[in-house]
Amino acid sequence: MLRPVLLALVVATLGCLTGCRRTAPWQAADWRPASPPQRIVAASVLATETLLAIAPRERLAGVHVLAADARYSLVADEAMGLPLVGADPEQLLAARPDLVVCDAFTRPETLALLAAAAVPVVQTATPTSFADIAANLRRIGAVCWLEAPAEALVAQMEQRLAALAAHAGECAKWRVASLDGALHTYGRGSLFDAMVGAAGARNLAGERGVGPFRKLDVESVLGWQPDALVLGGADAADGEQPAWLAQQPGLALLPCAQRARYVRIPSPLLATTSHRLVDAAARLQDALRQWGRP
Amino acid sequence: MGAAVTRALVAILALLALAALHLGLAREGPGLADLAAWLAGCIGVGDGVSAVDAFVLGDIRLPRLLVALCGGASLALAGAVMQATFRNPLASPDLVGTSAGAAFGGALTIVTGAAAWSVVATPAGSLLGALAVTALVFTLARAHDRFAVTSLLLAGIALNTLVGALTSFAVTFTFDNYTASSRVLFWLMGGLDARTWEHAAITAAGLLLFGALLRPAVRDLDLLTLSDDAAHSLGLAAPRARRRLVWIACGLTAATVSNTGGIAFVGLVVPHLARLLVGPAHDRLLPASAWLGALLLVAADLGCRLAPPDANLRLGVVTAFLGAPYFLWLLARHRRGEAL
Repeated sequence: MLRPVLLALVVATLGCLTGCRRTAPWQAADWRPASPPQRIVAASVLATETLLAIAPRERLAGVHVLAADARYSLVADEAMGLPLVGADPEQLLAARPDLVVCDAFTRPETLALLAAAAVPVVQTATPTSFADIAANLRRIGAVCWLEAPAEALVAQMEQRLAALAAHAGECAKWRVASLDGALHTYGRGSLFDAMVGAAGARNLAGERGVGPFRKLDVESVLGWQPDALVLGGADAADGEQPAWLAQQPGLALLPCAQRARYVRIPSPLLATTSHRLVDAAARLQDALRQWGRP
Repeated sequence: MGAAVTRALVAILALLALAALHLGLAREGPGLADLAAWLAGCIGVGDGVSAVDAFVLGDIRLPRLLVALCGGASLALAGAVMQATFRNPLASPDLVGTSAGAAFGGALTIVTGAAAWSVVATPAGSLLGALAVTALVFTLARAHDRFAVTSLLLAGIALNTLVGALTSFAVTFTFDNYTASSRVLFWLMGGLDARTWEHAAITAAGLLLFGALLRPAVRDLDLLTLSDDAAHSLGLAAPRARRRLVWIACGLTAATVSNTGGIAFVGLVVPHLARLLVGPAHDRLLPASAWLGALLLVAADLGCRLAPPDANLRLGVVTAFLGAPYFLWLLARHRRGEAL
């Protein structure tokens, strides 16, 4: 009797698995609502940074709670005063949205519940390049019926990228690496890699075959001998050494540490997935050009 | 008979009252008055509530409540069965690797991205993991065609460790994606947020199916608390009965933790509390455990829901906070020479 019951439970679960995959019309890549949404919930930092740049504020019914936190968001001040939502479906529904813009990491359970409540949800893709960022901007613009301002934002970003490319040659010899207090770094396939490329420099982790994100040890960093370190954290002047770096034995031996070649980029700018990433590239290029050569 | 009926009615009313609080108390969104209006609307009295409030009450909170009710009852029943079959008051459903297998299966679906495919992907992976690890433990424990408790425990400890290491290894693959990383971590800590009707259906099916199998085994459980020889002399083949009952406990656990993530201590603590209320006879202990388990998990989940959002309080953490002191109290009693 026991075996059939176990089997029945597994079969029922697998049956649910194949039977309950819901597809909603808004999952199509070219979907957009029949009329301009008036109560948009920006359920990610990216959506908030983008929508605050292109949409009238009164059309935002809610923004993600992290978007109002200056540690993670570049628009924390602007997001203050708007209703804040988390990942909880109840919170999202409480904002009475007619469109939710979220990122690729939103939980499938949340998506399923919003779909069941007939709330259109559009997910932006995880960007790994400025082209991906432009595609996300255009997608958000299209679903919100804000194509023109979204296109203007893309044009602005591309204009600035072109301006950076004009000076990229001056930074071509710089081999940089990002590092945080736990010695994490960003390699190939990360937006950091794209940002360093836009500035004209070389991302050492990417060249060493590191994937999007990896924890390093001091030995590796010493072996790589980066020409400059890109550091996140609170706003600080370039060249200013963070306290954690002095506490990591051995890192002081790096030539770039001895020459104080630290590019300080505020954490939300370093982590942004929106058009604002071009600001980080500009900041990196400025610092490297100021120092001249490695 | 009259007292028993009264006790049962009080138990049911207490559970219903707590369920109503679970549905109607919230930091934001529909409250108790809306719940009353919604319930009245459901039976055609009054105007009901707005469509959004109806959805929040009926499709978000209600499945969550059902998962808590059925999950709590299942874990407590599994604990009572394990403690009887192992003749050990510290036995719990985690002992033979079921929870570890569920954690591994669930984590694997998140790490590989399969979780994004369907809301049931993680429960399905988790259920398969739980059953696979349990089956492996049983196979390893079978020596000379007997089902020895020592072998089962040793195999369970070894597999728990191995599968725990595999889960940690799987988690390292999420380090390049903080969202996936936090999702795995939240899954491992257990929680009932964003549960859907599919989750409720699987948890309820597990409770009904395995609970039904448990009903005729009440006498076996009583006999298993004696020695194997005594049970044998009373007509019970202890190894065979033990294997069947441990499988039932694992089925109850798997159907729950595959939908809730890791939830500690319910299976360990609740049967002890139930024993204090109704004594050790399993015809009363099992229903009392199921009732108390449901009550405990619903109350713990209500606490999670009402906690400030920044606290990010997880259900597994709350149950551990409740269970660990009780575990220490048991230990202190044991040191004083009292029976566990």
